[in-house]
Amino acid sequence: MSIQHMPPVGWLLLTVNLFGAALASDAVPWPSEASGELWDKVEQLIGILHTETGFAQLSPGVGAALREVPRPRFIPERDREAAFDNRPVPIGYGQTISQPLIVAVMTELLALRPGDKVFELGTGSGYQAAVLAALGAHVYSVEIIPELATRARVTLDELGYDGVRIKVGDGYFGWPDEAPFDAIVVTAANDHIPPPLIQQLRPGGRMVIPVGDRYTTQKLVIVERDADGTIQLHELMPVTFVPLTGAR
Amino acid sequence: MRLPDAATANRGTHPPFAGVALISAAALAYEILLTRAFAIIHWHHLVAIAISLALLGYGASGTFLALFGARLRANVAATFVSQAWLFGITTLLCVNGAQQIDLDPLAIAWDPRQIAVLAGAFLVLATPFFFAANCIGLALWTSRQSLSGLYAADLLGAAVGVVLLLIALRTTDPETAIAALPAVGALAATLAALALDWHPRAVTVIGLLLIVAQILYMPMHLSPSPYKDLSRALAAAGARVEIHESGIGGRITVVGNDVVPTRGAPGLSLLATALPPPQRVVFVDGDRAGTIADFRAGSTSSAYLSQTLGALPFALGRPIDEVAVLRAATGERVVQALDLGARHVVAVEPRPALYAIVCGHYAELQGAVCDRQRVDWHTQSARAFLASSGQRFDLISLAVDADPAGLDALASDHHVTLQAFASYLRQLDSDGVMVVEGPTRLPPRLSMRLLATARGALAQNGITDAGDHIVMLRDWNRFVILVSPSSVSWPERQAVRNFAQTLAFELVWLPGMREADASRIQHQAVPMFYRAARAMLADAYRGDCYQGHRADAISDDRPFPWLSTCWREWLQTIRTQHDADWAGIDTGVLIGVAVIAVTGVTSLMLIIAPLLLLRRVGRESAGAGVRLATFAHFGLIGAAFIALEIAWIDHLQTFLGNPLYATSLVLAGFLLFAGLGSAWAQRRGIAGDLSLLHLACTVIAVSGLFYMLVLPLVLTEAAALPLWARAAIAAILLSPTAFAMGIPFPVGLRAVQRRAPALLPWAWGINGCASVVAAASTPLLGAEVGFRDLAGLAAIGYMLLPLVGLPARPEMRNDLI
Repeated sequence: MSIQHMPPVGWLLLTVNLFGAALASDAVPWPSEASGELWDKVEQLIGILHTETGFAQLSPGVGAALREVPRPRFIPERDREAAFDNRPVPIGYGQTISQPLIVAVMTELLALRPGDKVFELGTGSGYQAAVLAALGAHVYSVEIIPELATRARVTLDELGYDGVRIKVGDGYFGWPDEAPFDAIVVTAANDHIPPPLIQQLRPGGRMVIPVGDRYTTQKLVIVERDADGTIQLHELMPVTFVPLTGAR
Repeated sequence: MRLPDAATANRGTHPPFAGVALISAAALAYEILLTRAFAIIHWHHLVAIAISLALLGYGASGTFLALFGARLRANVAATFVSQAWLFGITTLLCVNGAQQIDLDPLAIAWDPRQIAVLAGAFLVLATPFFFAANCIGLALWTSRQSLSGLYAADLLGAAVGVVLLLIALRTTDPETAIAALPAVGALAATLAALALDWHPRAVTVIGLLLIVAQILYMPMHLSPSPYKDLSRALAAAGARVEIHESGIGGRITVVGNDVVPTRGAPGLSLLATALPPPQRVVFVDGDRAGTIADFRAGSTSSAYLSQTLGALPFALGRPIDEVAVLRAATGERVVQALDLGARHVVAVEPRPALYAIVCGHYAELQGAVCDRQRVDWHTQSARAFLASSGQRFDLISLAVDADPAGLDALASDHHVTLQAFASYLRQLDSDGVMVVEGPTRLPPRLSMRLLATARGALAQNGITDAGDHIVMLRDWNRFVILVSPSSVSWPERQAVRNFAQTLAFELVWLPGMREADASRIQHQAVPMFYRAARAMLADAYRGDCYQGHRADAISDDRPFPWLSTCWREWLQTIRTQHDADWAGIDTGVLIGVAVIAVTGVTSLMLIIAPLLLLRRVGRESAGAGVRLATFAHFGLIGAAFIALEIAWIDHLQTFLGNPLYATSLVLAGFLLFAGLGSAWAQRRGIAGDLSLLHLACTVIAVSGLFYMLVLPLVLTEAAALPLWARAAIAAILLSPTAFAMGIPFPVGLRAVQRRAPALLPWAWGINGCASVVAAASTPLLGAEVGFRDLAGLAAIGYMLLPLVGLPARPEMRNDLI
């Protein structure tokens, strides 16, 4: 089901959500001192993790995009205070918005340029898509839970990220009409990486897969497709952030 | 607190036997149903927590009766009737209410508020036990003349309740069973009102109205947490439930989806040229148990199965005709074996309901899986089947699936232990292979322990060069380990290399491989899997930890394959680096510690604090020695009793094939036999108390030794018997221990009553508190020290009782009072 073919109930929900979002939009200012502190902390952690990730600092574009996108707006109101913590936050339906550190590392690893096409399997809150769009990428995102897709669409529209297209449905076969992609983000992998996604990765492109549970990203898997079609995998570990001690 | 006096008893004002039996039956049924509720809502049966909750309610009731018993005894009828009504009303109310609490145990590491939420859930769920215990405690307290009868009613009620519950759960769901509990409470209250000639119309009407209102407006429904596999599957667009039924083996749900169909293929190559077809997903208690595809001729192809890690044994080039698929679930590995050339498959699945789904409702879809000419299904545990079968196989296949988050750190699995692997290897042909598949973690944990276990099992079968008998491959999130009694030949090694290269799998271990071979496709900063495998299989390796993680073989005594924290090295890190590696601790262990803290605090608040705050009981009237002896005696009994009980439950789970059977049998068995032991001790004269205690402790010590040395052998030998016979054997085996364990409590009570009666409430309180904390702690302790050693420790705890000296020698009695 596409967002364009939303039933009346969906439009009603959308209106309610928009109204709620409008009311809430001023409740948590962004950028703010708290958001600045959050991203300062994340950049500090990235410096500590450089042996695991292969880079010691975020590129200026990624850093700016992360600071630009208002994270609280992608979090349900009751947990919005946690938006300034470097931790995952529940967004309903058994899903979470990723930990800022993980979003930063994944975005950096994708090494995007403005105008790149990115496929995302698992829209979730829409936050990762917003960050990618803020970098100038065209994002094609598939979500299997209609309510999450609707909520993400509302938030992205309201914030003006029109470079993101969202589809509710089966992402196993990617988005063939828009393939190949310069990068692919798989946040909703089942028990295997769908081979069709590999086929839709442009030679030289990268796929990033966070592996773990809803609160802990245990490792990041990067799939690279060479020009001759061969693939290489890199596993970065453990990109786990534990609140008591910082990066591990 | 005073024991019942003759005058009170002679008035015949005690509640009826039937009322006590009903409350006792319903309370134990509620305790067992909680384990079902936990399994459906969260992720485990959490047996120890259900026991802890029951003890919390009973302990709080002991304190309550100690403080207010005199007033309550003045009106037994009103108290019993009202408490029975409250029990009935709160069973439904509290299970429903607890589900409204936004508990997410996994978030404890991030959100300390979850600890308070956990405590709230504990208090809510323990409430019905409090009222039930008030009924039973008051009944026992108010009648000396009919004490033995009431006691018998209490014990028989519990035993009958368990049997009736198990019968009910074969045909009905846990919700219906929970919804029936208020009726049992109401019936008990009504019987008591009639027997005691007290007719409280207002109470009856209000009670009935509350129960009816709950049934009408708060229909009982156990909802899986949003994080369960089932909840997520149902949230997807197009999801539809095709089957939803409950049975003794769990709640089975089959979900189909035409919009976003599931395509499960664990270990499918990134380079796969064939794709898995749309599948239905089968869930047991909300956890994904397997998938069912439509493999009818012309529908979809199963060709993708040759491009998964699980196809490794078939790539080896050895003839594979006879295959045993252990824990076959929905038969995916059965399909694979048949597709890849097996002539005949034995599929072993302990959950009959799962088999009924696969080869009943969906028999036509998977074709050959239910073809009796090619596949024999056995609905029993894998170890029981292999123990009874003399059959030999070319391939024994097993998969380990658990929550990759680490929540299963305290989940036991007796099918991947040293003893299990050794028995699998014994049933292989000389050229046969055993394969184990499972999910990977970084750093390697489960796979490392499985390698150590395989090495140990080979050694038990006389093979010391394990490295030549093992192959291990992996992809980005899964591994497969192949073990064979015969060494892997050069041509076979080449075949494995070809298989891995063609499908972009990474070599982790292959005899003769070099480190450079381990990072051809899947790169890590250092090839951790290879190095871990090399360490595990090296001739000189003797360690139990490897780089901060456990690397010992999984054993029947410590059957926790997912447990990975190596505490010795963890503590060493703190000492050397003055920092703790919190990320190195299993999440399940963290939650276990939080549960212990919560139970400890709540039991102190509900059991001990009231004694301290409301009445300075016993302080003035007892000497320090007697106080210390009382606390030690009842604390030891409380902790040791529960530790032994939970150790038995763990041990019998595999033997009986179902955690519900094991929990029910052990809880009812211990209650019954310990109750009989207690009653027997009460009928004997006080003069023999010390010798009675010595006798009990000797029996417990001997049975503890039996548990440590002989029980595993007996259970293995009897594993193939029918369920009723296994249950009878288990009951007979635990009866002497339980009988003896019932003796120290009344002996201690009698001693306190003689030496310092004012300490009686403290005796109850300390015992309750120790029991509650022990119930929560036992799984963690069992995982760390092993259930055999834990049983030994508990036996030592009992053996210390005579040394504590609460029942004094006859010549000392007058001096000590």
